[in-house]
Amino acid sequence: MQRTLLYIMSIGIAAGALSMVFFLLLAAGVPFVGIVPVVGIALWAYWKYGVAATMKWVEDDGSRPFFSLIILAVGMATMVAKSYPLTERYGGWDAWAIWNLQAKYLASDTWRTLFLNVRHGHPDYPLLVPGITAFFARILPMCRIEAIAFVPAFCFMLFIPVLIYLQYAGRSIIVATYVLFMLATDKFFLTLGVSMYADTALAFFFLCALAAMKQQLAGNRQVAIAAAALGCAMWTKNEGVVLSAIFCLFYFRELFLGGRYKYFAAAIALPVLTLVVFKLGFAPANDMAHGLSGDTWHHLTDMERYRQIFTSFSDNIEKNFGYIRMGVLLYGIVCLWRRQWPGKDMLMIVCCVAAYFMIYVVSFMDLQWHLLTSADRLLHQLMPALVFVIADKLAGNGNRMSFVIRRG
Amino acid sequence: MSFKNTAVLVCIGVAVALATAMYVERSRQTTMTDMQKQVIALQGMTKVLPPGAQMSFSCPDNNAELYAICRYTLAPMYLSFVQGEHFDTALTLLRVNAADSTVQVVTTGRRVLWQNTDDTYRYYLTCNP
Repeated sequence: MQRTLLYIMSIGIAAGALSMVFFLLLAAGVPFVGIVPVVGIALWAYWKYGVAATMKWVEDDGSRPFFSLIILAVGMATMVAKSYPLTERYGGWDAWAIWNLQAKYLASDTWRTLFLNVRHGHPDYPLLVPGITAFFARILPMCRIEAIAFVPAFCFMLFIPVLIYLQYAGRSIIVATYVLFMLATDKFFLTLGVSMYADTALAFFFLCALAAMKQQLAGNRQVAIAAAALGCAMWTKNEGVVLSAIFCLFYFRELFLGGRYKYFAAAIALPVLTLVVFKLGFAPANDMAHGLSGDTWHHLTDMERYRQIFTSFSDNIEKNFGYIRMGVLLYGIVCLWRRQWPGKDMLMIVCCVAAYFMIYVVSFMDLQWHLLTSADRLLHQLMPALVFVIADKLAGNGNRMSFVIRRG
Repeated sequence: MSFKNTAVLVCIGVAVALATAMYVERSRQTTMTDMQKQVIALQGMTKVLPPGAQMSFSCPDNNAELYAICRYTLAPMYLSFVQGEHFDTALTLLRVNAADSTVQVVTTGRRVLWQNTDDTYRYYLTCNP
């Protein structure tokens, strides 16, 4: 694993851990003046005993060609320039109606008021993104809360193409560069990123878990990284729980067997504890789970709903994720050419799409409205992981049949 | 850590700093939105009530978007939009051309803590005497 890659994952996970510790201390009634040093010590311990200890066993990727750094810098500059006209003062609808609203409550001494907002407020949503914003909003009360929220939002968006690029630049600079600029110039990806929605953060953590499983680290530390990333995904959005469950099913052997469950349990303990405290102690019932009723069976047998959802997904891919069609086609061609079945990672993502599909099938809400307001964001959560998997296949393994330009 | 590793992390830091600075600058330039109108119109209310205040909320046509905007503007105050939930304090929005009789319904028998008018709405913050 490249050290830079690990640093990027670690920064994202550290932000998630900060949010979790912050919320747990708030829930325990600790005043903010006591929260700051505890969070500081927790992050210091995480870095010293987690990240730095892991780094000792990771080879330094100082041999990376210099031009690959230039490409990366140009890619990042492109993202900055392209995202600038897409920013809005208060972010997108979900940013001010949910995430930044929750941050405003968490940043105040009367933060429990947040859970009264049952109408259009979604107080059952996990608080990773609002937690990060609220923590810094308390430290920097002179700053607008949206300006504070913009920083982690932009980081999560930026980390996605950078992480994919760093993963594959050594194997195929063409594939890595193409992915970097494809995402850096994709209007929909950038719009959701700078809108300060939590979907991009969830996409990043899901991608992190997948990327971690591609690494081989001493002492099975990749399991701990993947577990921590899945925990952060669960603390970002309710969908994160679904994605994490599917991930664990597909990677059961790599995550749990051979004594690796200990690393998994250690890394996911904090997120699970935070989520349990939040769900049992504070959050009202999830509207989707609460809405399941006798109509659910009727919905399951209503073929029109399946058609409607399929059409919506297809239209969304056509409109917002056009790049993925060519990627999937190339993935299929490479599989045929090499006479391979699609990998486990690809099947997992297909399973995640199927799970989202079924959530719409059983949804008690008006289906048209539900699809209109969320289908694009749900697919956005999975696209970086899908791009990562396709790039993995196209970057090849260095043999003659792969699309590889090897480092000199 | 090698120079190249450090260079990547420095590039990330510069990109984030630059993007944030540009966002802040753009926020200053953008034209007036519904949200900004409400922020300006409701600014005075934050001086009358503490951050943890809870109140009922009503607006023309039970407009959910207007409610969400006001709630965000006034957070961490709590605005109740739930039928049957009553508080001593109430924030009422009326159209700017609302009849005097409508205004009287809102204010009669109640103490007006704060009021304001912009080009779209009249805002009344009232409480039981």
